[in-house]
Amino acid sequence: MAHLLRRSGIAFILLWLVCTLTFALVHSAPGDAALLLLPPEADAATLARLRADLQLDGPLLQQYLRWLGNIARGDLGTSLASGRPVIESVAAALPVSIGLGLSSLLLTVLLGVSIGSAQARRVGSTTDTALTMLSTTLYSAPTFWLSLAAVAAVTVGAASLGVPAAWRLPAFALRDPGVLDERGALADLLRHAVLPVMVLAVTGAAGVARFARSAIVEAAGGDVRRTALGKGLTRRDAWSRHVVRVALPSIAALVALSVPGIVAGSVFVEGVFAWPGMGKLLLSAVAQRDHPVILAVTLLYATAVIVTNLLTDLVLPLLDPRRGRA
Amino acid sequence: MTRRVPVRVQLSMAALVLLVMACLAGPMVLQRDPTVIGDVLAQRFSSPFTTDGTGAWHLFGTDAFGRDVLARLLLAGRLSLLVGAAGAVLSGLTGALLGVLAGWRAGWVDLLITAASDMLQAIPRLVLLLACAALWRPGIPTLVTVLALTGWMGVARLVRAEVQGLVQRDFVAAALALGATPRRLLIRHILPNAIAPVLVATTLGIGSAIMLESGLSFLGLGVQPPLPSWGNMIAGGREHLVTAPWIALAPGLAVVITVTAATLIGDWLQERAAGRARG
Repeated sequence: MAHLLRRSGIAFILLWLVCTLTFALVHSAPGDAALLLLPPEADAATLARLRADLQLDGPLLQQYLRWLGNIARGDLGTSLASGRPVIESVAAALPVSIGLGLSSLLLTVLLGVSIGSAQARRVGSTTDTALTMLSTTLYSAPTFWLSLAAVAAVTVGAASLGVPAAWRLPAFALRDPGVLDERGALADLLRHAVLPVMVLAVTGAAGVARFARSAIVEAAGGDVRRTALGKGLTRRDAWSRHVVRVALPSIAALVALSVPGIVAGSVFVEGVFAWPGMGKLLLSAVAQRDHPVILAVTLLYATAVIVTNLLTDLVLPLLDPRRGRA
Repeated sequence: MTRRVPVRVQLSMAALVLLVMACLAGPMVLQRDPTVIGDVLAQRFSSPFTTDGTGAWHLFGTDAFGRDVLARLLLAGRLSLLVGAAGAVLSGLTGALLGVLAGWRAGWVDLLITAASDMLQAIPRLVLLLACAALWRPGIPTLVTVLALTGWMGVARLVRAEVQGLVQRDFVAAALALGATPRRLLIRHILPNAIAPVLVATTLGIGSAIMLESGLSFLGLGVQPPLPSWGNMIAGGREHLVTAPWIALAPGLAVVITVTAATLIGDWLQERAAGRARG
C-alpha cells in the first residue's frame, strides 16, 4: 500500500513536470498567437482584447497558474483554429485512437512474443537468423512508408491482380458513406481497420520479437531450465512452465516501453490512412500552429505513457515467479 | 579474444560504407543538378531503367518535375545521413555528460538530471519533436538541436548506473589513495570504463535519428524543399503513388537499408559489450 502511494505520488509529480515543460515550450516559442490571428492593420485595443480572450495577458507566472488550474478542472482551453473547446475535439478523437492503439497493442504482443519465443527455441538456426533479419528490417522501415506501401498494395496492386472490388480493402477513413444499418456499419468499420491495425501491429511486433528473443534466450541459459530438467520435467514443460515464465516480467515491462512507439506509429498511420484520431488531430494542429490543441494532445499522450508505466510497475511483481506469492 | 564478425554485421558495414561513399561522390560524378528543373514535359515520370524524352537515361527514373531520382536520392542521403549522425552523436555526448554528472555528483544534481530525464521520457519522442518543430521555424538546425535534446535520456541512464558502480570499485579507491585528483580520476579511470554503453547507444541512435528525420521531413516539418531529404522525397512521391511508385519507393528503401544496417551493427556491439561485462 505504501508502495502504491509512493509510485502514484511520483507519477503525479512527473505529470506536473510534463505540464510545466509543455507550457514552457509553447511560451518560449517565437511569435505571438494573438498577432498571428489578427490582420496586420488591427489596433492596439483589439490586440489587448484578444490577448485577454486567449488568456495571454498578465505576467507569465499568473498565466501559468491560471492554465494549470484550468487543466486540473479538465478545461483544456479553446482551439485557435476552430474557436471550439479543445476538449470537444479530443473527446471525438480519443475513442478512435484508443480502439486503434489497444487492438494493435494486443496483436503486437501476441505476434511478437510468439515469434520471439519460437526463435529462442532454435537459437542460431537458419530460421532464427532469417526471422532476425526480417524483424530488424521491419523495425527499421518508417511506419509512414509501410503505410503508403499498404495503400498502394490494396489500390493499384489489387486492381492489377484483378481482385474483385467487393474483396478489396478500403484504404482510407473510418467508414464508407451510406452504410446505415448497425451490423453493416460494424463490418464496415472492421474492414477499414484492417490496414492501419496491421501496419502498427507488424512494426510493433518486430520490435517486441527482437526483445522477447533475447529475454527468453537469457532465461533459458539460467539455472531455472537446468533445475526443471533435472527434476525430470519434459523439455516442453521446462520450456513453457519455467523458462517463459521467468522471461515474462521483462516482456511485460517491454509492453509498457512499447506504448510510446505505438503512439508515434499511430500518428503516422492515422495521418496516412486518414483516421480521425488523436494523431490526426495533432498533425492538423501542428500544421495550423494551434497551440492549445498541441498542448492538450501532448499532455494526453504523456498521461497515457505515465499511467502505463505506473500500472506495469504495480503488476510486474505479481508476474515474477521468483517473488513467491505474498 | 577476437571473435569472428558475423556475416550480417560485415554486410551491414559494407552497405553503410558504400552508401556513404555513393552519397559523397554521386552528386559530383552524375553531373546532373538534382534541384534544377529542366524540360518538365519531356522528362517527367520516366520509369526506372528507361530514357526520357530528351534521350537521357535514368537508373531510378525521374520524378514529377523530371528530376533524376537517383541524383536526388544521393544528394538527399548527404543531408539525411548528416542530420541522423549529428543528432545521434550530439545526443550521445549530452547523455554521456549528464550521466557522468548524475552518477558522480550524488544529491540534488543527480535528482535534477534524473527528473529531467524521466520527464522527457514520458512524452513520446515523435510528439515532442512535432511540437518543437511546429513552434520553432522548421529547418536543419532546429531538427538537429531537437533530436539531440530528446535523445539523451537512455544514454544518461546507462552511464549514470555505470559510473555509480565504478566509483565503488577498488581501482578507484587505489587511485584516490595514490593521490589522484578528482579530474584525473574521472578522465583516466571512470570515463574509459563507461564509454561502451555510449558507443552502443549512439550507433543504435543513428538509426532512430534518421528515421525521425525522415518522418518529420515527410510531414513537412524537417528539411524543407527544394533541398532534398529522404523523408521529403517520400512526401513528394505520395501523390504519384499510383502512377509512379518508384518516386516514393527509392528513398524509402534507402532509409530501410541504412537503419537496418545501423541497427544490426548496434545490436552486435551491444552483445559484445554485454559478453565482456559478464566476463
